Amino acid sequence: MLRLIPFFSTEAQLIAALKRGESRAHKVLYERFSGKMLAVCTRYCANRDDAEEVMLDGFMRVFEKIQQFREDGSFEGWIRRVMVTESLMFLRKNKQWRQEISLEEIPVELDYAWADTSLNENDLLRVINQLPDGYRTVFNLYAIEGYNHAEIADMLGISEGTSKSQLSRARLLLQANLKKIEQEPILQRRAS
Amino acid sequence: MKKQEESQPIDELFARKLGNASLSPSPDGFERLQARMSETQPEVRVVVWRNPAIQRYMAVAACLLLGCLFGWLYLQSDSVPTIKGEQVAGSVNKPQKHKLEQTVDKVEETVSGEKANEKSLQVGGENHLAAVNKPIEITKKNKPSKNVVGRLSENGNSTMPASENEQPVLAQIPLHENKTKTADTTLPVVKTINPVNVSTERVVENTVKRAAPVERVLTVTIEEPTSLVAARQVAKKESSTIAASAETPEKEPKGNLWQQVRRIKQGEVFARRDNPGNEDQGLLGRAYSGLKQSFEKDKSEK
Repeated sequence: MLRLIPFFSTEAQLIAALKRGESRAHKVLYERFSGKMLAVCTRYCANRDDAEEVMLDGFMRVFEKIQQFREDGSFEGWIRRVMVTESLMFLRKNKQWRQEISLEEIPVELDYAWADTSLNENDLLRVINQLPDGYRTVFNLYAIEGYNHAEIADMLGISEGTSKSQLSRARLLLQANLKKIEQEPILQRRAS
Repeated sequence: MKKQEESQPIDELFARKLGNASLSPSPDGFERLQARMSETQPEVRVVVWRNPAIQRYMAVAACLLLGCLFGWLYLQSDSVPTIKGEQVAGSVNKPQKHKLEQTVDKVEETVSGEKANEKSLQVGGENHLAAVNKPIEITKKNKPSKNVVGRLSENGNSTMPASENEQPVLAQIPLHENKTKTADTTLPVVKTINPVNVSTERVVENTVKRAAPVERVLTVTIEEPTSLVAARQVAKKESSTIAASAETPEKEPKGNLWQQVRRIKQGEVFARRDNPGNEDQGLLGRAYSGLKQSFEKDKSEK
């Protein structure tokens, strides 16, 4: 088999080509990061089609703003932040942040070892996508992206208290949903 | 981004599983991205002063613009005012007159420089012509003055052709001079057309009588040609006419630029289109014709 020689062996070469506006570099960047960025967008948007649209918008923003990238940090991290920003903009345009649902604040005992071994990425994405938009967004930003409540409050235009309450409610909902999955028979889980 | 101190197992579970998760995008994702990019292609902002390619074009355009501007100004300066299609004679003859006056001035300056050691003759002019008709004493040693006068005669050929056959008036040569020296006395220029200069002749005769008998004195009177006087009078008349009808002058149509370029190519660097029939209008053309005539003169003398 022919072994394809990568066009840009290093990230710096890819960035330089992107800054020059080479379409070949655009394609390489898309092929290299589209899977990960689609997962990021899917965590925020819940709908796969919306997530793809947001991802494409995010890539366009990356191509536009590539001149602003200072090569002192992680390029992937910069692209991820662009994607998160695009996802938040999409949610801000189409959704309501303060969507709350009533739930019993009873702590659920969950076997995390079972969840870690038995649940794959798609299962966890499906669980997280069942959350309301506000809960899901705060949980994503806090638990996965690593932002603190002050930053989340600033990004979403909410108070820190709201961010904290939504995070705790998101955790309760996730635990409840994971518990449901744990209690389901394996065959039924696979079918779903 | 600071990780909050309260970290729960469920956060770690999702962060570990979904932090580096990857999903396969649709196969036509990049085509859609390209289509979207082509749709929302931003307008290219051309920053003129930073683009070297555009700077080159700007320089060429600026040169062309300057060329057009100077050409337009040149044509504007060349345009001759006309009155109902007729060219004004004064404006056309002005360069010739100016040229003749310059030549006469040169002769006067040269002769006055040479006669510094000689006896001078003061002749008061009655009018404007008297200044031109000032008698000049030239000694027998004044060989250069001959050349100067010769030049005057050569340059004056175009303006006063009718005066060639007329007799010289004021050339008086003492009889006791050698034959070799008499050759110098045959200066060809001393010509008179205007009979107004009788008083001047008398003054010159008196001057000659008063001169020492040993010295040989040649008195030259240069007279303004009748054509120049006539042209000046016509110019005065027509300038008054122009002043009367200056409110509605018709502009002469623009000259043929190609003709001027061709004349410049032939050597007339500063050729003007005032007098297209005159070939000696350009600076180089005049210089060339002057040299040519002087060479011809030297040849004929030899």
